Amino acid sequence: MLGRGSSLPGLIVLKLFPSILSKITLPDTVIAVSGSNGKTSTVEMIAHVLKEHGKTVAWNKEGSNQIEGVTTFLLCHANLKGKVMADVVLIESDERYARHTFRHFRPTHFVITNLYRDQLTRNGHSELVYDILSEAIYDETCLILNANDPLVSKFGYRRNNVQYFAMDENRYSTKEPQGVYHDGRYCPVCGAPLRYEFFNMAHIGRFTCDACGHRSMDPLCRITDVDLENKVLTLDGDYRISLTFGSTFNSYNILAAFTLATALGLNKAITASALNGYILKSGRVVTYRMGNHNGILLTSKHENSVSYNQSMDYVRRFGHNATVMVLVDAISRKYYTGETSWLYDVDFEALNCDGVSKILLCGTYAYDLALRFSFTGILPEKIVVEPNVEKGVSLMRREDGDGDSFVITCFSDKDKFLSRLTEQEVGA
Amino acid sequence: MIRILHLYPELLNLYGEYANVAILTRYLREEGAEVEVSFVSLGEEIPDGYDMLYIGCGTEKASLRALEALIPYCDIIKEYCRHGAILLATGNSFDLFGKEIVDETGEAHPGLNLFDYSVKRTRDNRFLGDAVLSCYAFFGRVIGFVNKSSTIYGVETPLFHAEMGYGNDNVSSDEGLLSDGFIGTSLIGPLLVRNPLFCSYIMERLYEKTGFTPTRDADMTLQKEAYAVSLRELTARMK
Repeated sequence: MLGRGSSLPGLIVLKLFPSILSKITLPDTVIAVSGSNGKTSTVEMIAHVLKEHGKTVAWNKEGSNQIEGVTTFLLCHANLKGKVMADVVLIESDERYARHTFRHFRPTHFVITNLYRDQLTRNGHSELVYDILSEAIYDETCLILNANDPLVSKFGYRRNNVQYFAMDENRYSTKEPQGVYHDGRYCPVCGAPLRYEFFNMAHIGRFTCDACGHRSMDPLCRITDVDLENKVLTLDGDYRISLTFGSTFNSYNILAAFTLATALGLNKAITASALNGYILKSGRVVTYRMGNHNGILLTSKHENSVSYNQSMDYVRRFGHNATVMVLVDAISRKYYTGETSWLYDVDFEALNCDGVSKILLCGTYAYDLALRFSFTGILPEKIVVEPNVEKGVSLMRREDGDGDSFVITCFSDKDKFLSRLTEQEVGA
Repeated sequence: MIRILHLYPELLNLYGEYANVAILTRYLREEGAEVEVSFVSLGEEIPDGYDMLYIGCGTEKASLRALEALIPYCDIIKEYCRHGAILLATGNSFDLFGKEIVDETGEAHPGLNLFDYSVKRTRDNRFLGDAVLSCYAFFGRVIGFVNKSSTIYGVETPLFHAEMGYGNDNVSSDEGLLSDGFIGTSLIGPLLVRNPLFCSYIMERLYEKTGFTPTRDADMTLQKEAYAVSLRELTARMK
């Protein structure tokens, strides 16, 4: 019954023994990670770091991050007396379910990566997610917070037992907010206008509220320099980390893992060497080759503009004479919705650049995409609308020249593209 | 000249609402009209002389801030509606124009009092879901999404009949409110982008108001294709 990778056993156990979570004996260190984006990657990197420090780690790597899944994985790691046999328990926790999970036991450290507009058809909006997540936070827990996210930082407002992480201003920082909307306009604590020194992505940057004093707090650890073209970042001025995927977002995840390890008192040099060049097993990049075109599928989350924006940022940075397919066929793999408002939160304007020569809009919602793209200023002759994925793939394959190829799509849709490639094309 | 005033776009733009004004402006211009769009931010005065006001959806807290900012302009807003201007309120901004809003903590906030309805908000129950509706103002269906914490009681002249999705009181199928120039609905996001019929209806109302005669037709091809797909997908779920 306690098979891996499922929340069903946990569901049954919780029904039979609802208080079982409070009876499990946990190790001294219990780490939770939550936030809109980057949970899985951050958890994986923390696990790797801890192992490199010689610790045994029990973690819910199956991504079953709701209470049933957490129960399943804890029971899997417990002995007959109910003691979890590991130095550290590490939990990726769904931001909406954390309050249920942590009613029965409390994390010693709680990392919160960010709060963005994410799956609003389920979550309502991020202020609501903040309120729900705050019910999972207890005084005895040390919070590890993103000092560049005003809403996440609010968890630490006038609170003790908090450590922060932050990225310094760098060559990619901007003075104006990035993207088509600005969620950092007003202070989440008091409602006064927020003042930003710079933005690193979305509403993430160094901010101050002159009215109530809410501000980016001094961090325990920082990214002091970043070079996405050469895929390298520097932590705390001393530790160079080579990146397997050059994005600001990924850099923040690495920083979160580094900061957590530092807060645990672990040696920074060992942590840095563990993170250096680490290749995520849960990585969301798939490479392929079609004819003369090198291709990268960038798994993004539908209904999550920040995730899309990171993918487009990558295309902008690395694309040459690129053909970009944007595929929106099923909006979610877990539930049905026909809601397409989120397309208007995505900064598709970013694809209006020299490196992109053709855009292929594909899937059931190809016309919704086309309508969205009609507002981007991208020349109509660069855009092809093809709802049929099969035909879209053929068009890509027949593309002239040797330009780059990119696919931007979600978990729910990526196999609709990949399954139409030959083994050689995917294996390339 | 057709003049559009977008209220608090920096605060009430939670689900891509800015695109409602963008598509309307595009189509009006394509049909030969001169269009001026202005924006009012929190704390700024609400001026006279516009043909249409638009206010979109925000978080619950944001919508109460907008309410507070609008209260001093209550009479101006009533005048607007009385003189044939269009006031389009979408998402939880529709909540603001009734008698009162009881928020999730139980605190009552007096509304703008254009109408007699009242609003109750809850934290624990959120009403989320796709919607397919028929309209009392024009023929054809409207598609959209409801994402609200509000229950709205006492609307007498609804805008829509919900075939799928939540109505005002989350029980009956009456949705939104239509009364003279006031067009209110809890549907969120860029609903004028998703709905060519609704968009055309607003344009016609603006032409009536301003006396403008369009000189050519806007190109609504992409919008109609997208609408047909969404309507097909949604109605397939209704069977």
